[in-house]
Amino acid sequence: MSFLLRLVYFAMPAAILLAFLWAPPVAVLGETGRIIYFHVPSAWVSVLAFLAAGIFSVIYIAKPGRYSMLDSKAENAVLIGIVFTIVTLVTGSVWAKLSWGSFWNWDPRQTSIVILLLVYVAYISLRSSLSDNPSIGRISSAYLVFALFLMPLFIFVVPRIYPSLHPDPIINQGGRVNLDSEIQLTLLVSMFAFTLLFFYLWSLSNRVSELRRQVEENKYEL
Amino acid sequence: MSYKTVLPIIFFTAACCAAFAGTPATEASGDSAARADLYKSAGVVLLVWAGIAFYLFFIDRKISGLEKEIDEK
Repeated sequence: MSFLLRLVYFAMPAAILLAFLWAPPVAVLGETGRIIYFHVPSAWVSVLAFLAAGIFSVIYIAKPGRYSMLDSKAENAVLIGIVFTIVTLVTGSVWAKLSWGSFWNWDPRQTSIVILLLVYVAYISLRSSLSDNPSIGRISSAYLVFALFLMPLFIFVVPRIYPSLHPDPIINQGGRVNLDSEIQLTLLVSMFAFTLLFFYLWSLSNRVSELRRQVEENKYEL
Repeated sequence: MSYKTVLPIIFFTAACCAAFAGTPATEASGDSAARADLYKSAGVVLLVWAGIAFYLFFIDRKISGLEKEIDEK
């Protein structure tokens, strides 16, 4: 499994090279459209991370005491998800500056992703405030289950209710992906690379959490 | 992960760079300035990724070392 995750060392350079040197410019968006190869996969990884954290929290609450490590795994997923959400926000704002003329436009997409970011930053704050509380796992897991139901609302529902300048209508005209095959392939490679990167980072942070747990239990003196 | 694994990755990246070197990237293939900008951007992003990759690689090695130490105890 870890060997598979280390494929990220190959996949990421391949995605970068395809994005800049192989894929043609995106129709309408032009050369600035190349940012989708980093913006879209980052957004996808954010959703994946928050989804994983939510599912692990549900299992943690459903089977108390049985899977004690799921709580810290969920926390690690949220931390990685926050980093990728910030990457999504930054790449989106850079593209907005190039296309719309300013970094921040109060577009429903921009606003909803910031609110979502704040929801998960609040989770980190909650955990910090409960550091001495023996129920930290249950309380923070309950919060993540609540956030799990909130996430699709901010990512999929709100941006579709209000009129947005986000280039969804150009890419997904009539509910179909309206992109050249080279662009689709590059996007797929990039999404695969970012997904591998997420699972690799998550695996590393989970291994660190496990080591920390073992040290805290005074089983070993490192 | 050993240096025997990292070296092929570096060679793979270099080979990909060489393979893509002659590929026209823009619609107007004569626009060499735009193509030069794309190469520069790709170089910068690859450099950033190389930094992240080496950092991750050394963290991975460090964690593996600690896990091995605990397993031996």
